[in-house]
Amino acid sequence: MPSIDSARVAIVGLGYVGLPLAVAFARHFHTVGFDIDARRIEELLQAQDRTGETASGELEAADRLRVTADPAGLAACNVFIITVPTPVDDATRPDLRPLEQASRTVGAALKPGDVVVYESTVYPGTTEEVCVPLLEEASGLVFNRDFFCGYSPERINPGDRERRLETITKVTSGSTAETAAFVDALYRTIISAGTHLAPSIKVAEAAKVIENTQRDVNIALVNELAMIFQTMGIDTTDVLAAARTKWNFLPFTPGLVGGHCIGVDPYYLTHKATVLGYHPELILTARRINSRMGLHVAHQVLRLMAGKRIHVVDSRILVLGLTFKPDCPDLRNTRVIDIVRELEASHARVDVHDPWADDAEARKELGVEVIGAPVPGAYDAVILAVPHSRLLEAGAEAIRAYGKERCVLYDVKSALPEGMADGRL
Amino acid sequence: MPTLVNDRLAVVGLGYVGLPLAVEFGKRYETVGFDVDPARINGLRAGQDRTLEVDSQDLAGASRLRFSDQVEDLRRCNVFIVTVPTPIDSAKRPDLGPLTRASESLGRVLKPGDVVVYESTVYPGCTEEVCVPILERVSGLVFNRDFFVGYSPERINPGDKAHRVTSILKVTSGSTPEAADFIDALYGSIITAGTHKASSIKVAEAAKVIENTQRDLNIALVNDLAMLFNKLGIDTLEVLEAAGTKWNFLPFRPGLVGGHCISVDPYYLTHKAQEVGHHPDVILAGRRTNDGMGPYVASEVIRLMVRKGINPVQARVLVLGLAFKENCPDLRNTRVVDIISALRGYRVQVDIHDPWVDPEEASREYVLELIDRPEPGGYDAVVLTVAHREFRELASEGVRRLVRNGGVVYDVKGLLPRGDVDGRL
Repeated sequence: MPSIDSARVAIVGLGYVGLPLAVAFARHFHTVGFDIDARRIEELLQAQDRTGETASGELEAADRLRVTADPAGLAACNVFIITVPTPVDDATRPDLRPLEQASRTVGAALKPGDVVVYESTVYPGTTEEVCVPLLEEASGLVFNRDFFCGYSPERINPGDRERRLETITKVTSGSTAETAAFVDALYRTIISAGTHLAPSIKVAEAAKVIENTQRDVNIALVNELAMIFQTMGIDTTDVLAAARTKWNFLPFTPGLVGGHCIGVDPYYLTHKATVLGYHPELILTARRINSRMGLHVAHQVLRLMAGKRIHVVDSRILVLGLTFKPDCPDLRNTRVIDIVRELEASHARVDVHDPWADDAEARKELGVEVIGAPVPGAYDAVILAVPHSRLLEAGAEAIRAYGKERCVLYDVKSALPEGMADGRL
Repeated sequence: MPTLVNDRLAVVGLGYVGLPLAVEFGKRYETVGFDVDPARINGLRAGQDRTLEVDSQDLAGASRLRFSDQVEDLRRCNVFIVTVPTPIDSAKRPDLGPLTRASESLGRVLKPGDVVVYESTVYPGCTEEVCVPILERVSGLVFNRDFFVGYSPERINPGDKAHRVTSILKVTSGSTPEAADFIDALYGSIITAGTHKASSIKVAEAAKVIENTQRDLNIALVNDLAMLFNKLGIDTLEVLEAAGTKWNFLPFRPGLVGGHCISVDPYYLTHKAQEVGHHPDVILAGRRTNDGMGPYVASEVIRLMVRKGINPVQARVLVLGLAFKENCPDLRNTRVVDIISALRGYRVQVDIHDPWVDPEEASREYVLELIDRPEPGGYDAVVLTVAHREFRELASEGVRRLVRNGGVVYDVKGLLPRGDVDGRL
């Protein structure tokens, strides 16, 4: 195993997790940032980070960081940190292909004494059961004799300027006691908030995957409550405001659950549970509720339109906001698309406006044409799906004014003042 | 409506909720503390509270508080606060018996201008749909013309000396804006933490019932995870400790969910949800998990015994703890009984020891005989079910001394170090 002083670090996968990590390590070690996306590497060489996580000044200052799309650049490294995405496929099964590909690439560069650390969210057991065999096969080396592994889950909160890599406590683990101590010491050089050394890789893997599962289940509960209270004619926002006055009530709010984490991670856990013959009913029920909220919103809007005697067929509906979270350009796994599709299936003509979303990406990934400034007074219904600050700045009156005199205004996240919208979750 | 100056209060139901409230009101207003149980009234007149919520000094300090078990004594009151229990029946349906009987009693003494406030946990709509019609029928008065109602949910945490009735913010509501203002001012005069006036009685009812539902669901999630991690061979507490180093991870722990609140309140909500045609999948999935924990613990104990070659038939197992919560004598809805009956299903001989519990109550409520002094070395297995401080003081050696060589120690509450027990949740 290398000593901390002689560590030469490679970061494999330079997304919103890998790049800040590479920049941080490069302050202490010679660091190679590797990504298979040549366009990403080109941009980084121009000191441009389109995920917005790293400022160009930081990139320029990282003079010990070398970025490359060529696997040969990994040869001189002895510590490999893998930060590739772990998405799900169309059937919501874990898609481990990026992780497997990265393991093969690193395996080809692996030398005796090297250490490989995984940061991607996985189900407990993935590192040792899936990744290690690939490393052994590609390198011809023997695990825990010739090379060693660790797992240290990423906790990056994209767009969060308060909690940065350095200020979030990091969980670490290793395949042997010595490896664990090495991995822990390595991260402590960059994490000022400190580390938590978990007793095993599996424990660290499990800790990560339950964090977002807990959020998902809690949001599912408030979503279920919102649907129950809607049936009873009770305003959920009012109820939550009252309940929040208790010291231990948890302030979750109803809404769509999209993105690459909360809506995805639970499936890794339920996949492994199902393989083991354990039916994770609560987690899957929560997932089902959350993945249906887009349809629920669409149906609420259609019902409110009917209540105002507005014909749905050929009506014009404006959806404001397409990204998976406010004030951020990220379109990954956005569930706003479910609202759009359901309304289109009812033969409404839907316009989507989002000041943050990239037009080309929306077209390519979602098949949605994002329009520029919407025409005021043109719509039978207006849905405020994502409360971007830039949308709210215009004021509730201006948002309402996109609609015709007789129209429905639906406020998914209760972002408008009470009484402004005809409906909200 | 009365004014705060000429208020003459009655608190109906002097349990752990009603008594502290009556004491606070009795420091300031003429107050009648009413209970149908003559033994309770006699005890309180003698200055004794067997729920241990109020000490004799506090009782004596409430100089304007009188106790009575006679409905006639309520006649001179003009504000009635109902604090009776709202349990569930054996089919887990709301048992509104105490609430409707209290409403009938009040109907007999109600006069024009009077106000009735309910504090019991109910489903949204219960006050106006169930209680008000009874008050109207028995009194012959007209709701919102002759008399008014309100709802202000109790938030007492039994045994919690840090959060007392006056230091917990209180939600209030009323059947008319004037009634709401009156009730808010009334509680505002004794609650130093302040009040939150909800927009309607239904909102206040809903706020209360979701508080414990949220706790129940979060415990269900960690229980689910505990069972899954057990299959994976990972220690759950180690995982929760690692996850707990993230700033927003919620520190719930696995365990049995008993008592009169957390495991009961959700059924009020699910009952009403089903009545209005919404199937509450997430909440019921959580309930099912939590209700299954007793049998699960028993099956784990049996599994560990069998693996050690101990035949469960006629084996002797000691259950340490019967109360529903640590350091408290409360037996209401304790789920330890599920462990006991599941063990007996394997024809295990079960001994139960709990230094806090009244043996007569255990015998009367559950037909269980408690033993005073467990026999050292007399047991094939010990199951630690409740984290009473006496058991904590026993420590690993004390607990181990109770089992014979090669016996099983199972720790439901994570009381002992992991290495000292054979299994834990």
